[in-house]
Amino acid sequence: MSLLLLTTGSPAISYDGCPDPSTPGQLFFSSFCTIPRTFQESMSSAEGFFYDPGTDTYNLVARLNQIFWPSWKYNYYSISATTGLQVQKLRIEGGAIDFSWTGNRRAGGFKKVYAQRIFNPINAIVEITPTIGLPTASQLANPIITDADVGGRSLGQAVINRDQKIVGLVESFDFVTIDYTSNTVLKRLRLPENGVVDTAYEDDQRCWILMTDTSGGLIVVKINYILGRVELMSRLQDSDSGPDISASIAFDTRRKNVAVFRRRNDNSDGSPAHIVEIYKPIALANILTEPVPVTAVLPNKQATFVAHVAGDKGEAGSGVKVTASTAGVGKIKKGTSTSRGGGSVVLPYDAGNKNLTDTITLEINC
Amino acid sequence: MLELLYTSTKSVSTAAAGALDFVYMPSHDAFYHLGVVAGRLNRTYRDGTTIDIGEVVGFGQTAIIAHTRYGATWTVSGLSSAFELDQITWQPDLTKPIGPGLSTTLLDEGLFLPNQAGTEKYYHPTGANLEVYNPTSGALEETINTGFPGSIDSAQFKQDQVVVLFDYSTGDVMFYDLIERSALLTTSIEPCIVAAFDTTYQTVCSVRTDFKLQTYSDKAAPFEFTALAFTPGNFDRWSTEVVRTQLRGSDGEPVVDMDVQWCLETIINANVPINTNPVNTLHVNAGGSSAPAQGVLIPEFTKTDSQGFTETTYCLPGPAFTPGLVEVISPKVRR
Repeated sequence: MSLLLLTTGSPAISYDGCPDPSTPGQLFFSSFCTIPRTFQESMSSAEGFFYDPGTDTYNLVARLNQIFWPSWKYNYYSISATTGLQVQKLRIEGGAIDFSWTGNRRAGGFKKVYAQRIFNPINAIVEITPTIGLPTASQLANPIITDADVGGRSLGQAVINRDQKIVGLVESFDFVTIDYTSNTVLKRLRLPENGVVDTAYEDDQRCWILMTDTSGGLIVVKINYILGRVELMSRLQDSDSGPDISASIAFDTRRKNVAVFRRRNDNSDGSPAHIVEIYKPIALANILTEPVPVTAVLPNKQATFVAHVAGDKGEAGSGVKVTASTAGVGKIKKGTSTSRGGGSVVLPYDAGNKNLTDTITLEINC
Repeated sequence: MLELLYTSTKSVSTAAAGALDFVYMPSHDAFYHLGVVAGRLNRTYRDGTTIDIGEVVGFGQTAIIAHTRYGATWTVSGLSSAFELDQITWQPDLTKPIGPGLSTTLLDEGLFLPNQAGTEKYYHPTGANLEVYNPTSGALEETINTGFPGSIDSAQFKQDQVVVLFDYSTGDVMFYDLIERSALLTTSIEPCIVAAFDTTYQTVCSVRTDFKLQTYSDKAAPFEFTALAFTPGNFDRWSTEVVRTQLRGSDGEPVVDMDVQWCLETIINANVPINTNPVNTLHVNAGGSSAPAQGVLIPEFTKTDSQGFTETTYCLPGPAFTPGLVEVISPKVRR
């Protein structure tokens, strides 16, 4: 079904309302303050959603269109790590150009926050000051990684492990782990879908990858990029309030939660509809297959039936209690079984001493 | 024929039957299933439940599957190499290549297995033969004639040095020992589109031509007993005879490890003298009414051995036996 949803912050952020119509300088987007719309701004892109361990909040950097000159701006939002709701909004008054040169902000190794610099310097990963959202002059002068360090690969989805000087990058279908001191590819892991949306650092071994599923919705994959191994694959619950324009993922390293920011079309009155969903990284299962005999059912012999618990992205539903009952004279030896690591439920069955027709009924015991 | 355990009520649809690959994945006790929807990878369970889990891209080409080796599964991309599959996403793990010397055409439907010396070899089916390749150099080292009745579509790992050979269109199945170089069982399943051997429970799972999944045991289903053989065959009163038979499947293959109950019945007025060979069919002889047996069968319950044979001892009646009666011995499968 999906990861275990803890809470949804909706709307995750707020917009400023329209000023008095007589306020001068309302030059752009006149529709924003035309009834029924009553908000002077609207998000045009989300450019970095990450967990900041220092403030214990999710931070979101967004570019917005606005009615005032120069028609756009950046806002910096702090979002509660427990409710998914905005706790602080910071308008970027100065340095908006610098903001536009700094994208893909994300948490990484050393509990620092990093960003991809697209200009001055070009294509580099720099450390940023989380509360400001920008690199200082000394951080700009000392980029952590430049694209030359990784053979010119895109740094957009970088997962940064400063301790071992390793960076994880998305390259088409692959997640590539690279030693950025020598541009050596250490691991190359193929991902189940092509459309990587975002990545989030968990620790110096693991990261989360958010992907669009060709068959619909969003899936999330947790990988160990040091070992080159997938540890979890699941689907995020599909939205019930409209499609996402974009989505971003962050990992709360204190609570070990996964958060997804979904950018949505504004409501008809211009108010924001963007949400933050906070998940426990536990895959829930909603598919129970029929019990199938894997040994012959013979009188006075124990037969074995096998069923499986799975999620709708094929995630194994391990540790799920399943209750079994029979309609005939045969007996399931254990009324309640717990699914194994691969999601299989093994049911020893005793057919008794005669030929019979029997029905085994299984249900997930929540 | 192998013993059919289950036929699914659900059926799996397939976009292109020719592109359908089906491999058992021990990590999830389910089947890697390619071709249910073109270009997509599905996880299919024995009851026909199938779940889309991702795209299949082998460097822009449809992946081909080579079969299991020690529980690991290998996929083949457009490059001349096979890769172990990741246990969760079942995408090729590009850090784990094998068989760099083999072309992709060879890597279809074969398997990797070490030989007796522990050297990794690649076994590729061709007709009734298995070609043995050096996976590094790609050199053909040997051709094994298996005596398979049809043309091998797929060779898959069973256990130890035993492989399973399938001809999907005819349903022919053979368990073949690669070290002993002998067929352990030549049997069959219903004709199918594709089949895979499940190494966990040692069952065969096939996608039948109507896209329903069938699960078969790795033992033949009992079909008939051979004629009873008596040793020494004198049928003297107060003496004993060893009664021996073989339980066979419909392909004439032995049925092993099956419980057999020996039934003894006396027929009155059958007009057959006592010292002739008792009737040895599965069915009680017609003509005459039955009476309590006067001889004894010890033991009454036996089990077929690894070649399907089983035997009991028949103790003939003493002088009290009434002339004109006949004793009928009938082995029956307990099921």
